[in-house]
Amino acid sequence: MSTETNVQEQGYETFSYDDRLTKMFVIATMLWGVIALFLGVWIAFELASWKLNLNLPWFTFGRLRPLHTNAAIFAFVGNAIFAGVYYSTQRLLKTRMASDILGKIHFWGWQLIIVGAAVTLPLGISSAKEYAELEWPLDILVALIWVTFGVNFFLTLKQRRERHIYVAIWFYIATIITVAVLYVVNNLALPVGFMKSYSAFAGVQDALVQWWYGHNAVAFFLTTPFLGLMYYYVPKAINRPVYSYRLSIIHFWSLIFVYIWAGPHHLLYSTLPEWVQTLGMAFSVALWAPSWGGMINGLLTLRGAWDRVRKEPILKFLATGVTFYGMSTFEGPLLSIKSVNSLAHFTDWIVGHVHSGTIGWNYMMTSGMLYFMVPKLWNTKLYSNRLANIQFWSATIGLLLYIMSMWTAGITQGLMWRAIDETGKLVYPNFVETVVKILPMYWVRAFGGTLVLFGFVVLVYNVYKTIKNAPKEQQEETFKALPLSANPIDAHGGSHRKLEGLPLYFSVLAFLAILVGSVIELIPSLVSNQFIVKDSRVRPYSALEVAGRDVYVREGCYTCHSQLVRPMAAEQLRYGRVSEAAEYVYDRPFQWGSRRIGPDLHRVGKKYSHMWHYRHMLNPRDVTPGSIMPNYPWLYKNKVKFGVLPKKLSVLAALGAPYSEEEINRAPELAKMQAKTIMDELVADGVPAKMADKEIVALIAYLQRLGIDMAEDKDEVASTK
Amino acid sequence: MSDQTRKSKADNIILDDKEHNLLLDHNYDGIEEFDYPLPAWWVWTFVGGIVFAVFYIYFYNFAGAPSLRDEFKQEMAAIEAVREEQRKLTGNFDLEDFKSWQKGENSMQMAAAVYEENCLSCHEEGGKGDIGPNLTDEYWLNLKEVSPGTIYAFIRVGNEDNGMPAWQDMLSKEELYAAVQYVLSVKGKKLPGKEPQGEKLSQL
Repeated sequence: MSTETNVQEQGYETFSYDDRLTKMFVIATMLWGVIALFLGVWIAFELASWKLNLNLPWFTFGRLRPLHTNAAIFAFVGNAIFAGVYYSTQRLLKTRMASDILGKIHFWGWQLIIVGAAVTLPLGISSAKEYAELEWPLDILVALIWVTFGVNFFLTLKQRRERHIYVAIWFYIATIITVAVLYVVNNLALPVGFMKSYSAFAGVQDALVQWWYGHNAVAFFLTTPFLGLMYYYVPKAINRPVYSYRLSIIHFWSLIFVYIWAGPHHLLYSTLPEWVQTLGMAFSVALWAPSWGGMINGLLTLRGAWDRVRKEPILKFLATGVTFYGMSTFEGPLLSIKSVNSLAHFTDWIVGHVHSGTIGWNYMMTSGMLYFMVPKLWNTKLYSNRLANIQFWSATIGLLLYIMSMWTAGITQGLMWRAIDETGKLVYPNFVETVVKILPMYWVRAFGGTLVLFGFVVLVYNVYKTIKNAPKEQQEETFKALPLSANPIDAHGGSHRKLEGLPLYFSVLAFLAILVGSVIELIPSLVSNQFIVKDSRVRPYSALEVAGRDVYVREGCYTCHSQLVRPMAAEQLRYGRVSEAAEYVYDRPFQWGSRRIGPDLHRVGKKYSHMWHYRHMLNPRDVTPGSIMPNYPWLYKNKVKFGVLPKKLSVLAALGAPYSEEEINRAPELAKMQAKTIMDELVADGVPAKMADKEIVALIAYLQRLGIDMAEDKDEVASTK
Repeated sequence: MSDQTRKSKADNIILDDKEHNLLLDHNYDGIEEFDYPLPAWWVWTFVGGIVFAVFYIYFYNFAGAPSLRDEFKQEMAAIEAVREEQRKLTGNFDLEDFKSWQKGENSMQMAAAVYEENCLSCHEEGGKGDIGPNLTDEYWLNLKEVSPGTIYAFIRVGNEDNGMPAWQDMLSKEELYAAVQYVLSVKGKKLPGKEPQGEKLSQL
C-alpha cells in the first residue's frame, strides 16, 4: 500500500488557486449590491411619492428604473456569479484558472461596463429594451468581456486535473454559451451616432427577440449559474453528499432545453403569432418540474441536518434561497397560463414575482455564498454570526412584505382594470383611480425593500470587520493532484458519465439544446412575412415624430406605459381598438412595455388635444388629479436636434422604412413645418410661439401619431368607401 | 489534496446500508453524490407537464380550438349588444324627464361630483375652461343652439376631433343629466378663464 502511494506521489503536480480574482469579485459584489439595492429602494419611494423624482431628468423613475434593473442583474448578481464561479471552478477542476491576465481583464472590463451604465442610463442614453438598455458601444464591450470570461473558463476546463466535470460546471457551461448567444442577437442594431442606435428588429419581431432574451436572461443569468453555485456551496456548507446524481442529469438537460422556449409567455395576448404564444405557455408549464428538480436536489441534500440549518447563517441563507427558488418557479408557470396572465400581466404581481426570484433566490444565495467564501478566502472566522442572523431576518421580512404588497396591489389593480358593469361600462373608467387605490401598497413595498437593503449593509459591515480581523500575512495555499492523463474516463459509468469526461462534446450538446427552441420559435417570424402582416395604411413616422419617439425612448416612458391594447373587452373599452401586428412595423425598438403604472398609450393619438399633452407633461396633476407621474420641465427647455434627423431617417430607411430621398434630405425643414402646425393650435391656447423648437412639441407629435393609422376597423373603413 | 477517499467524509452522519449503496464513487473537492432514485411525485409532475404541453399545443394549434382573437370577438359582441341597448336608453332626451330629475334633492350634488370626476381636468374649476372651452361665456364651439337637449346630445356623442369624448359609453343617463345640469348652472357666469371660442349664441 505504502509503496503504491509513493509511486503515485511522484506523478503529482503542485498548483495554487487564483483567489485574488475571487476576492476582487467579492468586493465588487458588495459595492454594487448596496448601490443596486439602494436604487431599487429609491425608485420604490418615487412611485409612492412622485415628488421624489425631484423634477430632475436623471432622477426620474423612467431613467433610474433601467439603472436599478441593470445594476441588480449585471452588477450585483453578475459579480456574485463571477466570484462564486471562479472560486468553485478552480476547486472542482483542481487547477488554477488558465490565465490570471484574462481574469483581470474580465474583472476590470466588467466594472468599466457597470460604470458606463451608471453614467449613460441616467443621462437617458438607452436602447429601451428591458435589461438590455445599454447602447451599442457598451453592448460590444459586454460581448467582448463575456467572451474573455468564456475563453478563460474553457481553457481552464482544458487544463483541468479532474477527469469528469461536476454538475456545477455543467450549469456554468450552459450559462456562458447561452448568455453570449442571447446578448449578441438581442442587441443587434444599426448605430446613428456614438451613443444612439435603432434596433435591427422592428415591432413584433423586436418584441419576440427581446423577450426570448429577457426571459432567458432570467434563465441563464439569474438561474442556471446559481443552480451551479447551489450544487457547490450547499453540499460544501452542509458537508453532505448531493441527494441524487441522476436527478441532476435529468433536471439539467430538461431545464436548459425547456427554458429557452418559454420567452413568449411575456407576450401572451399580444400581436405575436398565436402559435408562438401557445408554445411559450405550454413550455412554461412543462418547465415547472425541471425547475423543481433543482430545488429538491438542493433541499434534500440538507436532509438529516436541519438542526444545523437552524443554527448556521450560511445554511439558513442557502436553504431560504433554494426555497424561494421553488416558490418563484411555481409562480412562474402559474403566471404563464393565459387566463392567469390576462389578469396579472402589466400589474405589480409580475414585479413581486421577479423580486421573489431576485431577492429570494439571488440575494439569499449570494449572501450565503459570501458568508461561506469570505472566511475561507481571508483565512479567518466570520466576525459575527449574530449580525448575519440580523441580516437574515431583516431581508426575509422585507422580502415577504415586498411580495405580499405586490400580490395585493397587482390583483387589486388587475381586477379594477377589467371590471365591467351590467350596462357594459367600465366600473373604473379613470385609470388614475386604480393607481390611487394601490398607493398604500407602494409604501409597504418601499419599506420592505428598505429592510432588504438594510440587511445587505449589515452584511457588508460584517464582511468588512471579518477582513479587517484577518491575519495580515496571507500565504498562498498550494495543492497537489495527479494530471488529467492519470485520470481515465470512468469505465463503469454510463454514457452520461463518459460525456462528463468530454467537456467539449458536453458543451456542444448544451449549445444544441438551447438552439432548438430558439430556432423553432424565432426564425419563422423573423424571416417570413406570413406571420407579421403588413398594411398599406401604416406609414412610417415623420421626422418630427421620430424625434419625439426618441424623447419617449430616452425618458424611459416604457417603464410605466405600455403600447399594446390586448384582445380583451375591458381593454378595448378603456383604450380603444385592439392592437394589430401591422401597426408596429416601423417601431425600432418596440415599446410595448411590461408594466402599466400609467395607462396604455397605443391609442392615445388624437385622444386629447395638443394642449392637454402640453399641460400634462409640465405637471400631470393639472389634468389628472392624483397622477403619480413625474414632471418633465426640461422638455420645455431642450431644443429638438433637427440637424441629426436626416441621419436618423437614413438609418431607419436602411432598416426598411420607405422614406423618399426628399423626406430624408429635407427632414429638418419638414419637421419644423409639422412643429408649426402643432404650435398654431398651442399658440391659440396661450402657449408662447418660441416653444416651436422644443422637445415637448416633438413628443406631442409622436404621441398624437400613436395608433391612429389603424384606429378604425378595417371592415368599417371598407364599408364607408 | 488527494482523492483516495472512497468512503463518505461527511461529518456526524451515519450512512445506513441503503445509503452506502447509493453513494457514488464521485468526489469533487470533497463533494460526494448519492444516486437516489427520482421521487415518484416529481416524475409524475415532469411527465404531466410534458403531456399537458403536447395536448395543449395540439388542441390550440391543430384541433381548431378558438384563438384568443376569436374569444375576444365573442366577448366583445356580447358587451356591444348590452351597450347598444344602453345607447338606446340614453339616446332619447326627454325634457320632462330631465326636469323631474333636476327637482330631485341630490341633483346639484351629483352634478358637481360628475363634473369633478370627468370634466374638470379639461374645463377647469367652475367651467372657466383650459384645455376645453370656457363654459361660462356666451360662446359655443359645438352647438347651433343652446338648450338642455342640445347640450345633452353633444355631451353624449362628443367631438373626437376637438378632444371631447363620447360620454355615452362612460356615463349613465343620470350622470349625463348631471353633466348637463352642471353646464346649465355655470352658464353665463362669464368667469375669467379661457378666451371665448365659437359663436355667440343666445339661450333659447
